[in-house]
Amino acid sequence: MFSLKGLRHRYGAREVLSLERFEAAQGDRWLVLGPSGSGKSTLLHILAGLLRPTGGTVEVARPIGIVPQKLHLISSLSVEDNLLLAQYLAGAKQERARAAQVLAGVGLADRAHSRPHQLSHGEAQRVAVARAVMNRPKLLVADEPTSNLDDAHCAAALDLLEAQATECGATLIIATHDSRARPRFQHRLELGA
Amino acid sequence: MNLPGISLAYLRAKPLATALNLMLLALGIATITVPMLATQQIEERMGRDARGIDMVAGAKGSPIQLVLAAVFHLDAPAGNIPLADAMELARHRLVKRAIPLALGDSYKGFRIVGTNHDYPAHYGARLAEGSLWAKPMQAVLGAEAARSTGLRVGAKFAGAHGLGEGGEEHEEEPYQVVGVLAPTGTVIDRVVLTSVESVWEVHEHGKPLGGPREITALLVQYASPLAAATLPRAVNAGPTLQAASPAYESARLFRMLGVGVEVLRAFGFVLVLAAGLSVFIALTNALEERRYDLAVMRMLGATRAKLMGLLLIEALALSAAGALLGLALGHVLMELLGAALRAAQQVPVTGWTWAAGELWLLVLALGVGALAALLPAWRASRVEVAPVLAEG
Repeated sequence: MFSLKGLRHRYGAREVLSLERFEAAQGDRWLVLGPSGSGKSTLLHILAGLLRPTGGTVEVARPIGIVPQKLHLISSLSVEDNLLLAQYLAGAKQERARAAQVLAGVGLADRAHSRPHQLSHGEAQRVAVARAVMNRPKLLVADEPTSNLDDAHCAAALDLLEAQATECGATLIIATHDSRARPRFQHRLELGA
Repeated sequence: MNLPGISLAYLRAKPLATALNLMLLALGIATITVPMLATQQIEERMGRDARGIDMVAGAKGSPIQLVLAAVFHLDAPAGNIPLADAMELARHRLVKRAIPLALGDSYKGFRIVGTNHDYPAHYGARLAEGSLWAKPMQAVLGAEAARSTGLRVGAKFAGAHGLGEGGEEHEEEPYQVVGVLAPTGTVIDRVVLTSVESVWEVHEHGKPLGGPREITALLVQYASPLAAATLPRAVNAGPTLQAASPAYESARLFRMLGVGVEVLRAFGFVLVLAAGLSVFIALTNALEERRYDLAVMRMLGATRAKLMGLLLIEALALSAAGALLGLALGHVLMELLGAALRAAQQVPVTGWTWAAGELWLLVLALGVGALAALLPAWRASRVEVAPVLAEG
């Protein structure tokens, strides 16, 4: 599903990421661990194609679904339109049926016409996950999906991501500094500070 | 979901700012539209009213006043002229046709014009009802005069002295309506026609007859283009008559009014530019507020062109709506103004007409909107996704 070789990334003179080899197969579940500033977000952004690395090669199967740390739903659009936006901007056919199916999958079938400000944090996170899987991604990446969540919500968030990745047959990469996620993942990449 | 849909969603999300920008643009466009509609209609109307009249001969005084009084029936004449002098001019070899006008009375604000049958024929007027006058004290109403006064064939009415309402009525000399003209779209719609002799009869009632007769003006059509160079000079050289050219005096009048119109138009352009600046400020502020949205859209696959398009469409939608609202407002204001002028029997103008320049106003508004959006749109397209998402 992806292959990174000789990956380097620098911000000015400071090298923030250095990975000789990192590969994942379809359906793999990876946890990228490390403290703040260790390059987790940089790695996800490179995988998602949002950042061009300063060195190395990147091969990633597309489409890619991204769940950003702050969720970033478009506040002027309804929940359903936030989902359709993902299809429109990716150049895919817009399918309301797909949006309804995905929303039902994350337990928000009745919130299609709600605005983001009308949602709880947990609901907004589920919408962000739903948006990320709208285009049936081959790679699903989530940046710090469990930060500021209690244990129960932390488990629910990880369950949701795993369930949706399974539904799409996608590889899942979660970047976090939260060690509570560690026992659930066989594949782990530890990045140093 | 598409770019216009997203742009409209953003506009709807800020109803107050959107409404204020719309109002500013609409006021600017309306301020330009009203004088544009008014001048176009007045020019057209005056052109129709003065068509085929090369020269007006009347009492010495202001030539503009003479033309306004005798051709457009908008001003009071400066005085009368001896009938004998007028007839001498009418027989001049350079005069093809001369139509006498005797003014002085009115009915409910509509002027009573003593003339001959050449006058309605000159404007191509047809009878909608009845016949033309055949003897003194018979009157034929213009279409608007008939509609407004409610007089029909067979009705009698007394003219009032003077050209406005409230003058002393000549009750002892009533007119009888014998005909009503069909609408012509010219000044003849707003007058009451009768014979010159009727006007003389009304004003000589109880006075000894036999004095030198007078009329107010003579509408002259030249027999040859050469007349334009010599006839007015010859008329003006005489002791009693003044010659005025409707075309020249109308143009002079428009030049004088034009200053006010230009000031109003310039004010409108300033308002439109202010609206453009307001749109620019709104979009620049929106850019800061939407950095995350724009970054997310890029994350979701939006091209830079799409982000540019998003802001451009937003500005263009605002501009188009503001322009259309402004045009509608301009037409409504023009109609209200027209209703007031019609009530005062002044130049009939309406808001329910279209000026070719309005299309350019729409183009102007869209241009200002596009210009205002250009820099914010370009900046939107340059949003760096990873740093914005990373800063949360």
